[in-house]
Amino acid sequence: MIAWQILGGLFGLLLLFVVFETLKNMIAQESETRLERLPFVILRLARRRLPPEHRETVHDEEWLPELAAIVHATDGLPISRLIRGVDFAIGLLFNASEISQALGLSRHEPSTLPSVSPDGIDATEVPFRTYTAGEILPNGADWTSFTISHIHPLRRDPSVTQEGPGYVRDRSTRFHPNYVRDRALHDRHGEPPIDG
Amino acid sequence: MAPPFQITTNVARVLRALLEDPAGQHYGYALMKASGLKSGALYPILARLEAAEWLEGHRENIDEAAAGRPARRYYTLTADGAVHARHALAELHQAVGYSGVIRPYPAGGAA
Repeated sequence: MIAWQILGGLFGLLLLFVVFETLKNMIAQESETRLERLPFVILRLARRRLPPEHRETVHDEEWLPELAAIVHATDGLPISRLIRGVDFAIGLLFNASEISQALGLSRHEPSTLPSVSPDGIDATEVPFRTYTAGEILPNGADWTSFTISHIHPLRRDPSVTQEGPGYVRDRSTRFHPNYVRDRALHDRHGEPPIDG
Repeated sequence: MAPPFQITTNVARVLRALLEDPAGQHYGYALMKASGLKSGALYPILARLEAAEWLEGHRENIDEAAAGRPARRYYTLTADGAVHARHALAELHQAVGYSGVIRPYPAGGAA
């Protein structure tokens, strides 16, 4: 009888140990995952402090890839990753307003294009490479989902870099793949971003 | 010609980091380390330098799937930017009585 009680006690202890270890590992994993996401959460908050027109070009195309590169470079070093990631993101969070102010000097572009339709592209008016909807948008997407980010792949188009600029045009606006610079020139000199 | 923005200590640190490799591709985090600035101090300076056309921003040309991360934005000094940056640093050093090696033009003459 006593032997059975001892065996039962040992079994109970073993069960407790297994449950405790499992919970400990789950908590550690949960904490690790949440801490890994912390820099991205902070960066997301910094994004909200940016004016809407800068969020895509500044956060999505500059800060986020930079943070991803920091995280990627510290793969396997969770503490370094956390420290460097948080350090990078938190500086941007606290200085987002100053950055916005500085960006106001150089980058002016809408985050999305106004109603764009395939009919809006008119190759006869633009003496350069002109893109059709099918070349720019992913399969199945329509023009209402067109954003400035769809222009980025055009920068890698050999005809853009070798033969000259390529343009996308809607009813009211023309965009060069290097649209940021062109928009800045436009704003500075009052000239259209490109010559029609 | 006076620069279109104030050359503060932080701006000078960024310019010095850029001029370490005037023809190179400069990424945000690398510039943070080279200049000793935090991200919140660096990015406004980069924006001002870009607005003044001393810098040009580019998108990194990588296969994102193979690299396992999105393409970053990097900066290069423009030809004028490099000259202006050297002038600005030389003037700053002159103003504070520094007699180091910063010259308005790189060895071999003006760019």
